[in-house]
Amino acid sequence: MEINWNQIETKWQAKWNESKDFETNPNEKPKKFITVAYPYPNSPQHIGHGRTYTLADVHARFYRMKGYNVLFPMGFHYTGTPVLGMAKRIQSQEKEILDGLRNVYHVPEEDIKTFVEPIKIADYFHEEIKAGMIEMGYSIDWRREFTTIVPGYQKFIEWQITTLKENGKIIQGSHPVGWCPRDQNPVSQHDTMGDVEPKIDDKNHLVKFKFGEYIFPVTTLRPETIFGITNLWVNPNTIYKKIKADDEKWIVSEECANKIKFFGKEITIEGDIAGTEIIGKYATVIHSNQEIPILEAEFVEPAIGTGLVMSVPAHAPKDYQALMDLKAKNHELALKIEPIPIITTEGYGEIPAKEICEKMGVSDQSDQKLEEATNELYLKEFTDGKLNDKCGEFQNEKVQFGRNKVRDWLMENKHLEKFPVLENAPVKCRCGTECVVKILNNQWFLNYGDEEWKETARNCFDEMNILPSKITTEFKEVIDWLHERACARQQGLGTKLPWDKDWIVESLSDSVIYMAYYTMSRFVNDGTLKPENLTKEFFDYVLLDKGDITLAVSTSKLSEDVIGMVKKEFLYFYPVDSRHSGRDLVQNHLSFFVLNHVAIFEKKLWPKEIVVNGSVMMDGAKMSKSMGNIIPLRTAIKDYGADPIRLAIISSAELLQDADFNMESVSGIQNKLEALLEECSTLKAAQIGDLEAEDKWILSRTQGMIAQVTEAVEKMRLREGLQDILFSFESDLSWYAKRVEAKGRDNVSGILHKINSARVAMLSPFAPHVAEEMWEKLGYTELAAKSAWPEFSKEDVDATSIQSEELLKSTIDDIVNILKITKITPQKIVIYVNSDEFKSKV
Amino acid sequence: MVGGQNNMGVVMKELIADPQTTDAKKMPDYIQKVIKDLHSESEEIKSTKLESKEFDEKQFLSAELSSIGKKEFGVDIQVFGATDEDIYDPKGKARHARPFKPAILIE
Repeated sequence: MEINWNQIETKWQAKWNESKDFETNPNEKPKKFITVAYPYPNSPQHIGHGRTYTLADVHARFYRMKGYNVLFPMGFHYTGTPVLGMAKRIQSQEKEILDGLRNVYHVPEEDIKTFVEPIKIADYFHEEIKAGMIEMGYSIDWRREFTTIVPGYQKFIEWQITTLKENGKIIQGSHPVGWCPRDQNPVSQHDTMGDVEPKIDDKNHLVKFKFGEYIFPVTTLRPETIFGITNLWVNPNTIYKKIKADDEKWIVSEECANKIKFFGKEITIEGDIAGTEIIGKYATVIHSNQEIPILEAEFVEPAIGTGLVMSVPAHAPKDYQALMDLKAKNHELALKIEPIPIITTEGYGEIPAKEICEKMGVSDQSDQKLEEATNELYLKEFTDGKLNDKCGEFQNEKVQFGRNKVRDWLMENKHLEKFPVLENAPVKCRCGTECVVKILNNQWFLNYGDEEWKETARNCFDEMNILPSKITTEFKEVIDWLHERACARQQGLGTKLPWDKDWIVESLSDSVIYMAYYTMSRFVNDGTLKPENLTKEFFDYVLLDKGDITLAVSTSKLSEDVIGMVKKEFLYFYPVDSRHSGRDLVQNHLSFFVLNHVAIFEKKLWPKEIVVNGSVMMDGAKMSKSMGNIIPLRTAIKDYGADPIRLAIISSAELLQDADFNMESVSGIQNKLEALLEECSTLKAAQIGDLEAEDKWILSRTQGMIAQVTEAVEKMRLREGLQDILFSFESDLSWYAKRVEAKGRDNVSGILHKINSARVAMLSPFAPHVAEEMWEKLGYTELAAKSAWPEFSKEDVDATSIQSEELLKSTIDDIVNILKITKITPQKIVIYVNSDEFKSKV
Repeated sequence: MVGGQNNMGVVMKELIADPQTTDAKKMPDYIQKVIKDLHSESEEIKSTKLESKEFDEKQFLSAELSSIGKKEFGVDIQVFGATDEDIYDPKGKARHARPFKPAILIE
């Protein structure tokens, strides 16, 4: 039976819409509040975007059938710069973008013309994405929809950010951020090409050395090694810059001069100096007045740090090897240098770098093994090492503590400054410019570095259900690593900081507790609540149970009844029972979601569950514009049908794996669904008479399948659940058919109807449209989406029937095997069963 | 049967300790085979075996085997208990029958 997918989809979507099944209000039933990270309408939706929403929709539909009152809402995230970035790229007629819009997504030319205006882009793709979600059959309560720039939402965000500030979570200060020099704005994952979160390493520092009237700044991750320094390394092929940095004269590489412009220093370039002019001269270690020679080394990269390197040959394998290489060439200055050990570590002798180089058989400074040697030694010395008597007042300090003490001491004496670097450079802004690290002064930060706050978040993670559970450690690492984060920008769409109107709350800060807004957005949308009613006192009373209702009434000018109703709805749906998101949001959105909930709400309103899924690949390759393998979601629905796409997405991978999508699997799924629909249309509900052995068996097996599928879906192992419903159960059914046919029975329609009803009901969250069609063919008048999820019943499992049927199957198998081996055509078959009672007892 | 154990020594010890099965020591080969049978089955089947009531293998196979056997192999299948008096057992196969492992003769 060939299915016209789009036709049945439209049919059932209209019915769901008509019966308002997904419009959820509080009632007496237990609730589930399931949410997905709302989309950014800055570009069209492709199949990859469909994965998280599809998984969440299956989850929502499953719980609805389990008898829960399920709220599954959706909003649209307009905040920030992605939309502006897109508008800029269209303005500058970027070919890749325009080609994509025209040829892949078939956006009409007259719409593209309007796209120079950012809001037009957002509006266009908002409608486009929403249409795709409806066509996919997502069971969303659209009455609650909003965008993040409507006045009601902005009131909510003003309240959120004010509350955070009152709770001491927002601070003003100077901190490094990822920065786009062209947009003059901080960047985070949403603003970068390829969605990379810029990772800043702020443990990097520069130490100053004197060179006549100049300063040589040299970066290091190990300030304690200043005591073991023997020389500096300079690249003979680099032309360095003489610059003025505030009041000091510095010599650094050109690349470094460009970087430190963003550190809040006044930089002027005064001239050039070649590496060769410096090599062979001496610099001074400021704290000790020690003179150290400047030697040549080609491994020094001008783009890293300041383009100058300090040499600690006793503890840095690269320095040791470079020094040995020079000595081997009878370099006059090098011959006079001996390593100065400053750290003693158990398991290592006096000069650890020498030992490890010799142990690993390092040949020269270009040897790849040096990287490994460095990592091994650095880690060992950090965890087990102790500073020795060369380190003055820091003698006997463990390296892990001594390092910070030496750093603070150098900083107090102004011999050391911060030099934060981009760990995952190069990161490019969506506008195409390479991002830098900027130290922002007087910027507003969320103080995610606050240890007490981190600890509360860890408590929340500990008590929450995280699927799949192995992602838990990733969250722990993120919490450990997080530090102050800029929460406001000077550009982009969004909500102004209530206390400093020059700033706009940035997109990863205005998307953290908005699930609470879903519980009231339907009242904003129907006019019950107007933006001017949404006062601080109103939110405090409704969301935090703070203050009293008279204050909320007098400031909001709403009646007690209305406020009571809104509060009741919030308290009914909150907390969030499940938050779905892609894996790329673990390190920011999902972690911020937890951090902000624990900072604002009391414990009983903290989120209960997070579900994380991998991304979608296309025939094994990452789906990307440059690969040209993007399939727009709506095109795929038109060509293949929503249900086959849903099932192909689900069956291609378990939760955390990257899903590999391919079109062959789609047509296989289509055939399977068509066959099942065909079968359903032949089955009629009928009285089930006395059960024969095979009936008892297949009904027991059905119970087993129900138990397995239910458990799989509860744990969001959807691929496994779907596999059980559609494929694994087929072999049981075909054995049953064989048995029934052998007996010449024609009274099994009732049993098959019962079994397939359970299968179709369980299929309905996965493939909701075609399941409705099957359900109708099976003779049901109510919607499958509203039917009850099949319950496993232990009483219906007949263990004896399973065992006896197993005996029958294995006996048949044994006969088949004997015939295969002996190749005889049987005239007679005789079976001898055990009748020794003693043997059975054993 | 002793749940979850497939070490011959342990199984034998437990069987001998139980007065109902003390005679197990007389047939070590048989015990070894049963352990092997069980070992090769899935956990799921093993647990249904524990839940399952005792049933008469001869009665079940006599009732159910003929229809499917006829369909699969085109011949009638006879079922005997290994100790039946009227048994047709020209090749002496019946003594190999074990619980859930019937012996088979094909001519």
